[in-house]
Amino acid sequence: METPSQLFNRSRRQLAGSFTAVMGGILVVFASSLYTWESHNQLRAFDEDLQAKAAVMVSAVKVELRQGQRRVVLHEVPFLGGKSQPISNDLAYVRWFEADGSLRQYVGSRPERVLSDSPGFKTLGSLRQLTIPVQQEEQLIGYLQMAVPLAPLQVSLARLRWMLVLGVPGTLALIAGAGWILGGLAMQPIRRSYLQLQRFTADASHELRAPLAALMSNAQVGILSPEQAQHRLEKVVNTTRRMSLLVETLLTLARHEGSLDVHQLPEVDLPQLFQELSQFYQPQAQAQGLTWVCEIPTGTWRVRGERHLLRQAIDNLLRNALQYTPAGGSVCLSLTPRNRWLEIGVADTGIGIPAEHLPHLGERFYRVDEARARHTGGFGLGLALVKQIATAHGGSLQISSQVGKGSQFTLQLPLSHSRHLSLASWECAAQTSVEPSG
Amino acid sequence: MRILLLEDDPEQLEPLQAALQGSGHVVDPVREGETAAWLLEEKSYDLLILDWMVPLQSGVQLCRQYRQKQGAAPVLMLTAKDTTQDVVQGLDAGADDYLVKPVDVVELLARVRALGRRSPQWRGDTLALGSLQLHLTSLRVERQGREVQLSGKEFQLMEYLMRHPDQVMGRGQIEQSLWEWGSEPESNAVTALVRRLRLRLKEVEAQEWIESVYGQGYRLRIPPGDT
Repeated sequence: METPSQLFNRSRRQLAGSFTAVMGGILVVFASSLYTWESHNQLRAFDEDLQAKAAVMVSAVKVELRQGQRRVVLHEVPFLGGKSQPISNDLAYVRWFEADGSLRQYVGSRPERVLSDSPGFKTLGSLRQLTIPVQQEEQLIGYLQMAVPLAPLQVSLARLRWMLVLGVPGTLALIAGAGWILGGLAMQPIRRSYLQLQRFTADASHELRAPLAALMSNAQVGILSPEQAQHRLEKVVNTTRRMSLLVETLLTLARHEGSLDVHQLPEVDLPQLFQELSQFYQPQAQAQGLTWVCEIPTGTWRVRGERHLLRQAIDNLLRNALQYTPAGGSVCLSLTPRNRWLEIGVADTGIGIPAEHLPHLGERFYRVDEARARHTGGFGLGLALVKQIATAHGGSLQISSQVGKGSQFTLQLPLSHSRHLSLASWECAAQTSVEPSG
Repeated sequence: MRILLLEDDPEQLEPLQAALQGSGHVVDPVREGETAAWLLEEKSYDLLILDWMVPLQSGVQLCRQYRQKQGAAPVLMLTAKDTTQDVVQGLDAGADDYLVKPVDVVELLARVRALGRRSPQWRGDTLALGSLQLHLTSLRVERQGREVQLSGKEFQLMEYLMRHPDQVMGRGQIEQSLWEWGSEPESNAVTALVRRLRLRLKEVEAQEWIESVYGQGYRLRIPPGDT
């Protein structure tokens, strides 16, 4: 079986490989188009140059009327005309053919007697040849044919070719390296969530197996010693109750995995919900010797959401606060409007949470103190549920804590739209503070 | 047998403890590894039942440590981990047997009996002294064709006395061997237990086998007229 690290390395390699292949393909297409375009361009410039030279020569061709006959005079044409003029080294040959195609005069290599090429540009080996028909007064008087060596063009294109041949694989190597690094970066969040999922599965199976094991043992011991049956059945009932609570919580988590369509949900009046919660938790806090503070601003403050889910989230936060705050401390439930948000705060003066645990707090089955959580019957799902409810409502959960001083949980929810238009009416908080009795 | 039972979940620990006690074993229940390690140093056990995943020190670590210190008692590993790899790791750490949760109590008791038989002290499923026989698996006393069923605690005392015949066993000694670590038996608990055991033995006409030795304790011996 493949280990997770092998799996991740394989995926990373695949990612880097396909990235390199795609980028390589694009690069090769780009390089070949660049080369085609460049060689086309250079050839055109070269041809224009050749044509300009030809134009100079053509302009030197004269037609004389001698004994009633038109005669083409070439001796003023550069190169071609002067008998002893050496051929320029960027000119391979110059030829003049009569209008009927027969060769009249040439400089450079010896051609066929008759013009065999049609007018226009032509590449002959390492030469570029131009043949142009020369007309005067709308009459064809002959053909000028000239050729220049292609060498400068070929050298420049060869240089470009070399640059591409060396550059493309080099760039490809860089791309592969970058792909590997990017692949690694892309893998990190996946690896994190994979490990988180793995831990969740392991924890969930452990948490589900434990009560099953207890159920089975209790039932069997009850069968083996009938005099204990009553006691064993009570244990079975308790364990089953605990297990159904766990399953219920897990199902709630699974059911609200995605985000809710908040706009479709009814508005929940938070101050009213706070009153209810306060009525429920205030006596509990007092019984534990805690000061109960509930800060609610005047007016109606609404968010859109599932009322029972919001209540469950605040319930969980308050239950935590009460559980981890020793007698003499205080627990404060507050509602604070802040721009477009409503902040539900649960602050306590309890034992606090060590900093290294803070980033993991919203993870399922994450317990700060394993033994203590077991003892108090916690599954490590409470905060995961709060976080998920917040996310589903388009909000967030923030936690800050100091060991020995206390913790502050802030549930941030978007203010219902109809309300935040009239935000100006925000008034001073009405504060109720109840000291523990006795 | 005296058994150390290590299991961190009290809901699972309690019924297993009850089942083992019901089969006549003395069980020291422990919920975390460090206490278990300390008890292993202090006391001697006939069997260790260790849960793998417990806080502070895992069952496997504990087992390895126990074997390194030449601990000889058989070790039965209990765990929710069920892959072959885990089983191998557990057995290699020195465990003799392996049970995957949820544990079948009937199977657990059978395996405990099997491991008990493997111990060097085992001499069959029956202890005999004169005409008196104690069946270790069914917790019954048999004499001259008659049988009586003992409770777990009564059986423990009977077994203890039968393993030390003709010796005077003090109340403190009995208390230490028969009561779990951490439990505080009432001051007359041993006396009351002996009285209960004698009542049972009456059914096989053997009540006078347990003698009270004034100021010292109790002694089990074959009465002169036994055939």
